[in-house]
Amino acid sequence: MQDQLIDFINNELLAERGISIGPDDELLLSGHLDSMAIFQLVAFIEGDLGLAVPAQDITVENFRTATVISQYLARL
Amino acid sequence: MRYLLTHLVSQAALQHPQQAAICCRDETLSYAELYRRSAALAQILVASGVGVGDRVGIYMHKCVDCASAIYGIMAAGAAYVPLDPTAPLARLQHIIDSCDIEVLVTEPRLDRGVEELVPATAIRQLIGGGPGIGRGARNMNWETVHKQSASEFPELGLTGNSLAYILFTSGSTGVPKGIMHSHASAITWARVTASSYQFTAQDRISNYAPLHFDLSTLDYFGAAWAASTTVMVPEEYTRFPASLAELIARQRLSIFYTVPHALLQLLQAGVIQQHSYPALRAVLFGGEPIPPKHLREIMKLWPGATFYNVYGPTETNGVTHYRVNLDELDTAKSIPIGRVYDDVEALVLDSKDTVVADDSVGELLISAGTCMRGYWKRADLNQKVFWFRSQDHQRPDVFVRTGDLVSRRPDGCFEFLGRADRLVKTRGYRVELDEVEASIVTHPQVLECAAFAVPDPSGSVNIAVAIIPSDIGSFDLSRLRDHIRRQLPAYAMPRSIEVLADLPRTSTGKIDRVSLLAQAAKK
Repeated sequence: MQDQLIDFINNELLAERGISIGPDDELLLSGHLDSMAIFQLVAFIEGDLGLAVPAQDITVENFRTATVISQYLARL
Repeated sequence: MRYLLTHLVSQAALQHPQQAAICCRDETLSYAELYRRSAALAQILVASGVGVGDRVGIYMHKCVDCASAIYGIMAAGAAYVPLDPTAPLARLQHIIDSCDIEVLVTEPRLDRGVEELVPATAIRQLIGGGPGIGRGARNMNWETVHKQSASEFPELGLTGNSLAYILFTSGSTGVPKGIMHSHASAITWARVTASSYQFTAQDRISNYAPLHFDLSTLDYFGAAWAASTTVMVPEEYTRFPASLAELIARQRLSIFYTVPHALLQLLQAGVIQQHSYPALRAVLFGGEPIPPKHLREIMKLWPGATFYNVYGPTETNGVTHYRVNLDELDTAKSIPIGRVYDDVEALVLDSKDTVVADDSVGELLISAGTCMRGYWKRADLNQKVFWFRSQDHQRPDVFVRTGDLVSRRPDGCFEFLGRADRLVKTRGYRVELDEVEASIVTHPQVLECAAFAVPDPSGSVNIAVAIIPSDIGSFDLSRLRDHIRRQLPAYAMPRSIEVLADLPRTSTGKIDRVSLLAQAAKK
């Protein structure tokens, strides 16, 4: 799942800007993901990975890195 | 005696030394420590050749040392120029060149941008870069600044007229223009806000806006006037409504000053209900209109807070405000911008610069102590923006044209009706784009909407609209079209309606209409 997340972030969200991230790279402090990108990422998790993410769980704590996101999703 | 912005901090440090001045994430600076760090930075800047009237850039994400940078630069006699850390480097380079910036205050998280800016500009000294940064410029890290011993601000003979900061906004053509504020105009604004909203040393005031957005001046200077605490909202919190709601509660914010977009995000995510907010006593919002139907829902969720619609372009600082009454929102079509603050004179003029009668539409002009000195190096714009009323030919009254269309009600309350430059002609008819937006957003399934005019090959324009539905799954476009048909004359009907998950935003959270138009023009 972590690999799918990283692929999606790199290929769909960051490719245009010529950036790619690894599992533990900071996604938010670096400003890599804007609000549109976060929306797309949540849509990917819900649509392609089939996991429902409650609005109150979409937080800076749960979305800091690809590893942190997949750990959060594993708890769902 | 407080006639310079730096006096706000030196006085607070004397009277409330241990009071928290600024918080960001887990870090807090007391007024004594903020004063010490700013004095240290000022000493370093003066020693590195910064002189009275120079411009020094601030290129930082939010952190407590943004405050040290602001006051340190001004204490060195210079004006601070915030550089948006999310802006394209070409734009920043333009601002750096135009302001002859040679010294840049930054932080290691932005090393990548700094590495490109240094060789492309005249920057010769960095404060706060990471290890090994530079390529031609000297660098001093923040640890060294913090260790520097300094007990007071240098005495430089600045006056209220001295330049305090320049804020760059994107003009409608996309070329950034710099708005110059003096210590006098900024400190007048600090005093107006502190007295209008009764700030005290017990208040904890949000800093939601980035430093290059004029909302931040209330957060910093209004708070410092009353020795209140400024609580920074880190950038990532502005993108996560659940985290923003949690921060407002956990940080016990008493004043939340933000843009309508942030309130709409909180409402849509349904996260306000997750916490309690006993300290929250006022919510201030401005920058764009907010649909009454959404504001009503938000006000019900924060019943203990008073809500103010605040209005004022960067050129004038805040000039009017309106205390919203929940009962009126069931029927209101829009929310007034309210009455002018004390010491503000407002005129509403028609296209011949004649004062219009109450309830008639005209452009708003402002004369107040909070008004800017002018646009940086733009004599052409200054010639247009200032308007002189010569009742006394020796000393004409100076007004700033806001470019905003308003009407004044007989009770002195102003209604905001849109930008003068948002009036377009389509196939011979005059259409107010803001009116198109306002009517579309009354539809229950629409959260936000942006209308813009796309040039067509015949030389006329077509009206295009982009919307965010409140629920994209159940959204029905044909019902929206019916709704618009009932609201607007046929010539004002949008030719195209695009349904989006979010609209492009400027770094200040406003809808980016220039970018929407560019995307539409490509198609």
